[in-house]
Amino acid sequence: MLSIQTPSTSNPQKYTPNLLPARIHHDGPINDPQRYWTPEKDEDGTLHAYFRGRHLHGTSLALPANYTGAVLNITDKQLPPEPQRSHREQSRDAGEEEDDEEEEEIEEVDVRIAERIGEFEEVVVWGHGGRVDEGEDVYVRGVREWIGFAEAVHAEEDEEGEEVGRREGKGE
Amino acid sequence: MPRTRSSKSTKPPSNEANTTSDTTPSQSTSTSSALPPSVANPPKLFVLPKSASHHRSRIVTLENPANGTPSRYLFCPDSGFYEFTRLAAPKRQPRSWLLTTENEHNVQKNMKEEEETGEDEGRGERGDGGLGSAYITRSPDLFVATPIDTLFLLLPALAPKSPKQAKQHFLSFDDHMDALTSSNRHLRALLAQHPFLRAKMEKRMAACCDTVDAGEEPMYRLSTEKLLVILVKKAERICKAGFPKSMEDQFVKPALEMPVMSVRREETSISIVSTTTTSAADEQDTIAPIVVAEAAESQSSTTTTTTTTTTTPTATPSSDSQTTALTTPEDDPPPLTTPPSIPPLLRLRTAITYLLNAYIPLTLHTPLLALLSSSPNLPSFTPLDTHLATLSKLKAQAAALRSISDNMSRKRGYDDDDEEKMAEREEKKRKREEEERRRKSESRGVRQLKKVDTSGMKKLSAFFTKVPAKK
Repeated sequence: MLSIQTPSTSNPQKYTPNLLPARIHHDGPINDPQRYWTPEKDEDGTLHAYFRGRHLHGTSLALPANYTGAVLNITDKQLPPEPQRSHREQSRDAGEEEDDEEEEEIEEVDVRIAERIGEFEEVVVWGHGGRVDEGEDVYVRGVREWIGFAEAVHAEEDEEGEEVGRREGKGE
Repeated sequence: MPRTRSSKSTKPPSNEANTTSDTTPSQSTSTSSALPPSVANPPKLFVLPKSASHHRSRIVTLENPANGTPSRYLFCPDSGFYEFTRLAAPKRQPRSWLLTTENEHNVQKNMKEEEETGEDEGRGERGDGGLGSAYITRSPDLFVATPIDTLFLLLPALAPKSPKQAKQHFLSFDDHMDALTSSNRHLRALLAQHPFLRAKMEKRMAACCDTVDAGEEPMYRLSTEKLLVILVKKAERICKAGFPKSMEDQFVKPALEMPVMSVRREETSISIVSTTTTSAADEQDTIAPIVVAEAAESQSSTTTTTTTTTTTPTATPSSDSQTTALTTPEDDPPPLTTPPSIPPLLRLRTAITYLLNAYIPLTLHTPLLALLSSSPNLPSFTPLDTHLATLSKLKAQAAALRSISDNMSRKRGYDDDDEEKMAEREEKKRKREEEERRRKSESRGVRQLKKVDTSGMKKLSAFFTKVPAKK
C-alpha cells in the first residue's frame, strides 16, 4: 500500500513532461537542458523543437480541469503509523470488541510513502517530422477520451445509490 | 558550437543568464558535463483526480473484478475508488519522458531559497531523489487514475465461482465481505481504517443484489437483472456523454460499413470484342467502387453469361443494368443505407460489451448476455442484429463475387495477395542474385578445380587421422 505524501520541506516543482518520440536509455536527472531542448510555440499552437538536429512537432495536451499530474517517487520509507493509531484509539473508545482489534493489528499492512516530487498540468506529445496523429496516439486518446469516458461510466455512482436506496425505502 | 566549460560564468545563453546563482550546489552540477548515473528506481508519472490526491488517499492492490489479477487502485476516503490505467506506447513506437521545468529561473530561485533558509534536508532529498531542472525516464508510462464504481470491486465476491454453480445463496454483507477480503489484505486494512467505507460498499451491494431480511440483518444475493440494468444505464450514459471517437472509428464504423462491391465488368467479353484492354480497364476503374445490392443479382446473372463465353449482344444488356444501378443509388433498398436507429444501438452494445470485458467476472458473462437478449424492458437489439446479419450476407456475397472475378479476369489477386507475391518474388530474385554474385567472386582456379573428378582420391582429412600401427 502506498501513501502519496508531499515532502514537507519543499513544494513540488512544476514540470512539463515531454513525450519524446525516441527511447532514451537513461533514468535520472540531466544537466543543462536548455542546451539541447528549447521548444518554441508557433502561432497555431504547435510546439517546435530541434532535438539532435531533428525537427519535432509537439502537441500540447492539457489535463482535464479536475485532474492534476503528479510525479511520484515510490520510496521504501514507511509511513509513520500515527494516524492509524489515533483512529484505533477512537474506535476503541467507540467500544469495539477487543479480539477484533487484535486481528486488525495483525493484518496491518505496511504503508510506504510515494513522494510527490513534481506536478504538471499538461503533457506535450512530440512527433518526429510532424504532429502525432491525434486519433491514433495512445496518450492523446488516453487523456482526451479515456478520462471523460471513465467518468461517464462511474461518476454518478452516489446519485444512483441514493436513488436505489430511496426506491427500496418506498418498497418497505 | 564549441564552448569551454572551464569557468562557471560561461553558461549557455538562456533567459536566466543574468541570475548570478552560481553559488548553489545545483548550479555547479548543472554546468559540469558528466551525466549523473542512471537511477535504479525512477519516479513515475501519474494523472490523479484533484479531489483524491491528498495525503490520506492510498494506492492499494485489489483484485481486478474482470480477470482476478491483483491490480492497483487509488482509494480516497472521500470520493471512493479510482482505477489506474497505464498508458504506454506500443513497442514499435519508442518513447521516453523528458521532464523539463517551465522556467529554469524558478528552479534556481527555489534552490536559492532553500539554500538561504538552510533546509539541508530538503536539499538532500533533491540531491538524491529530486528531479533537478530536467529529468529523463526511460519508460514512457503514464498512469491515469479514473473513478471506478465500487460495485465492480464487490463483484468478485458476489459472482459465482464457476459457471456451473447456478444457485447463489443469500449471505449477509459481512459474509460477502469476508469472502472478498480473505484474498485482499489491502481492502481489509482499508475497511478497518475507514468504517464508513463499509456502509458505502453495502449500499452499492444493495444496488445490484436481491435482498432478504433475515432477522435484523439483510441478506444479499447477486441479481443479474439488477446488475444488467445498472450496466445498461452506464452504457447509455457513455453514449450520451459522447461516444469516444476512437471507439466509434474502431467498432461502430467498420461494423456498419457497406461492402464495396466492385461492379464486375465483362472484361473478357469486351476484350474479345474490342481487344483494347486498356480502355476496358479504365472503364472498370471508374465504375468499380460502387455499392449496389441489385447489382449483386445482376452480377450473378452476368457471371453466368460470361462463363458461357459471351458475345456482344449479351454483354450490352448487362452493362445497361449496371448503368441503371449506377444512376439510382438514392432509392436503394433499405438494408443498404444504415437506418438512423442502428448506430446508437450498436454504440450501446459496444459500450455494454466493453463494460462486460473490463469489469465483469467471466462467469457472469453468459447469464448477463442471455438476459440482455431476452429482457423485455431493455432496449431491444433485434433491429441491429437483423441489420448486421444482412450486412454480413452482403459482405459474403461481395467476397464471393470478388473471388469469381479474381479467377476470371484478374491476373493477380487483390492487393494483399499481390504484396505477398511481390515479396516472394523479391526474395527469389534476391537469392538468385546472391548466388550469382558468389559464383562470380570465385577465382578461376577454384572454379576449375571444381571440375576435377575427385571420386578416386582420398579425402584430405584422411591424411590427418591416426595412422594404424604398422605390423
